[in-house]
Amino acid sequence: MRRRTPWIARAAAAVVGGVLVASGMLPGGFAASFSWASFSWASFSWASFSSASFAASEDENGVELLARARDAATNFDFTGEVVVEWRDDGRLHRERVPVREADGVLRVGEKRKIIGAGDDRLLARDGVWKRLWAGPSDSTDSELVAVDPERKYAFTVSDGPRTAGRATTLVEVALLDTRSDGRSVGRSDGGSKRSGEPGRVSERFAVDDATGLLLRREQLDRRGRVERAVRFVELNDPTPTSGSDDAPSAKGSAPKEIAKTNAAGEVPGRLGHGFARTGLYRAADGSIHSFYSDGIYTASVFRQDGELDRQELPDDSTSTDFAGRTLTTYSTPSGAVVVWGDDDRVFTLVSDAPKRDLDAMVRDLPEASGVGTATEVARFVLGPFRW
Amino acid sequence: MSTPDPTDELLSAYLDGEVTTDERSTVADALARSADCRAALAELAVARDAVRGLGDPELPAEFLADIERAVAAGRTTQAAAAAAVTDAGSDGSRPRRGLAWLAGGAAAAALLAAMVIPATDRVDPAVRARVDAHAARSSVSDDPVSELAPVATATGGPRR
Amino acid sequence: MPDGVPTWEEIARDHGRFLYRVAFRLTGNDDDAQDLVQEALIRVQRGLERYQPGSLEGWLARIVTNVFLDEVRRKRRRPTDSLPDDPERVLPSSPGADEVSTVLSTHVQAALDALPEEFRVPVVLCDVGDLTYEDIATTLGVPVGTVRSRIHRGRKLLRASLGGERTA
Repeated sequence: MRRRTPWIARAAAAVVGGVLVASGMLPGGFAASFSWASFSWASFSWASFSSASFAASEDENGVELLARARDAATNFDFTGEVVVEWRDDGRLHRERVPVREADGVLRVGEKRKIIGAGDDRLLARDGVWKRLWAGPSDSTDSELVAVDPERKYAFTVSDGPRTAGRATTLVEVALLDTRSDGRSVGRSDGGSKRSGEPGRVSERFAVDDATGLLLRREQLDRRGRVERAVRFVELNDPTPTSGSDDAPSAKGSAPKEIAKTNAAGEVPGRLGHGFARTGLYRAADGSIHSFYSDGIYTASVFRQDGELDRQELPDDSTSTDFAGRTLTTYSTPSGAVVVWGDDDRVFTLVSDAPKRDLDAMVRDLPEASGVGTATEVARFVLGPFRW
Repeated sequence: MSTPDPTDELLSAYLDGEVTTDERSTVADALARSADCRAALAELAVARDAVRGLGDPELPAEFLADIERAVAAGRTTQAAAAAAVTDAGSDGSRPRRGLAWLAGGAAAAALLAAMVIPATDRVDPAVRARVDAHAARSSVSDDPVSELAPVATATGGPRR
Repeated sequence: MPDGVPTWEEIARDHGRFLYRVAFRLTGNDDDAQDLVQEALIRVQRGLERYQPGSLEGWLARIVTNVFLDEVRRKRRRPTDSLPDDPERVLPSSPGADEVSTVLSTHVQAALDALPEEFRVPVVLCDVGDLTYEDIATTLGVPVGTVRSRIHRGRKLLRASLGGERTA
């Protein structure tokens, strides 16, 4: 369902809010989310008056649609239910989760277990709110320059399936096949995309035509099966946000951003195939959290000092031997988790990226290619994962 | 009296050169005299040639680079292993992994410090907290609903 | 290193393509083929100590085959759950890369994929890996006569898939 082109909305917002949006809509991915986030409610109401202003248009490409969806969730009030699915050792798990967005505060889970307000993220544990993350974050700036999803992925836009009873636009993301040179070539602004045919679709997004909300997200494995998915099964009347709600007060401090030049030694600035670091933080327990993105998927590498206490590892794990070490892996709805440790360091990798990317990431982390005894030839392999 | 044509199975082996001398001459004779036999051979050859003619599949984009990386990683660690032998304790104890990345004075000082300071207590990797932290950070830069909904599930579900 | 025994690096570098070729023809897709090659290289590394100089590619092809068959057996033992139909789930599954191509080699690969493993493996080992019947027999743990028979039957099935009337 194609309605008005979004440039009308942008122009309207610019007039009312005095925000120069048009310059923000670069085909570079993350710029869009940064500029849309600075809309005021007033500009929003004018835009909605011009009817269906957030509808998708043929002119809009996949990257822009996704950028818009990132903020739509906090620009609309709604209640609904979301189904989360994830595959673990062949079995597909599924759970229903209620969500509610009101006045700029997003609540996820029963009894409001998780809250997102602006860039703050709070988690309720044992009746106490704990601060997971705190904004404002400077990281969105660095993401503008560090990551361009079109260097790695091809985006296809088409009519989407009805989701939660609503019409959607489908954005499919496929890895760009770069068999000619095997590496992405640098892309300067305005330069041409790297050549290559798109490979198989690895991620699908269905964006609501009326509001731009992301209603469905699916990751597919190489056989086209769902690896993990989040989708609305119920969505009640999204209306533009009005006023602002207060999130409850929370204990604990969020991780603090630390300078990127302070590169924490072993945790690299680039990881795997096209993942760039877009945030570096120190958590309250002293561990380093390095955050990466390739424009579609994200990854976190946590590094802490000390010897790994295997007894503290949760159950439901798989162990893989790799380079004389043992990797403990989990599959969660948020992504795969890999833990490994040494005499004095523990690494944890969390990522929702597909398996091929996980392999490459583990290879790039130094502890993954360790030294055995002197008489043993160092064991190095291409990738340890066999889901 | 005519001898029966060779079986297709024999013809197939003949195509591969996997026949005894006797079998070979049997087949050769049959091919010379029997058009049916020649036709049968041709049919089998279609399938054989089709597979043999497939050629090299295109290598995936990163495949050769991955191999090079693995080879390079192996060289580094092998060199470090050699270095570790000379630097290990005289009791031949397992060299500390830190030696693999020795690169200059600062590292050497750190190494020295590590050898002097007693081993730290074991630490809890806090897997659940890591998953929460990753999802929280992801949701700041990504769609909050799809990034946070899985965390809600993970914290509320049966997993530890 | 004793004479004639290559290093792991040499094998990975010089024979990576060969390994991938056999793996790809066995599995029919590049993701599975890459997994196969990775696992095979692990086993190559472990087995190098015991390797007797001889037909290196034969040895490598046997390793790839064993990994492939192990995976086939593992999948048979553990069938995956399938979800009940969900009316919301109207997204069609993505077509495999093979299905949309009309190039001849993809057609042949599809015909190979359709062969039961029992026939596909010996045909691939013979016509892609260039192994002797004897090597194939050793790999599969069957008599040479069985190899001969399976290759023949595989070829008949292939011929039928590739079009044209069935051979008598």
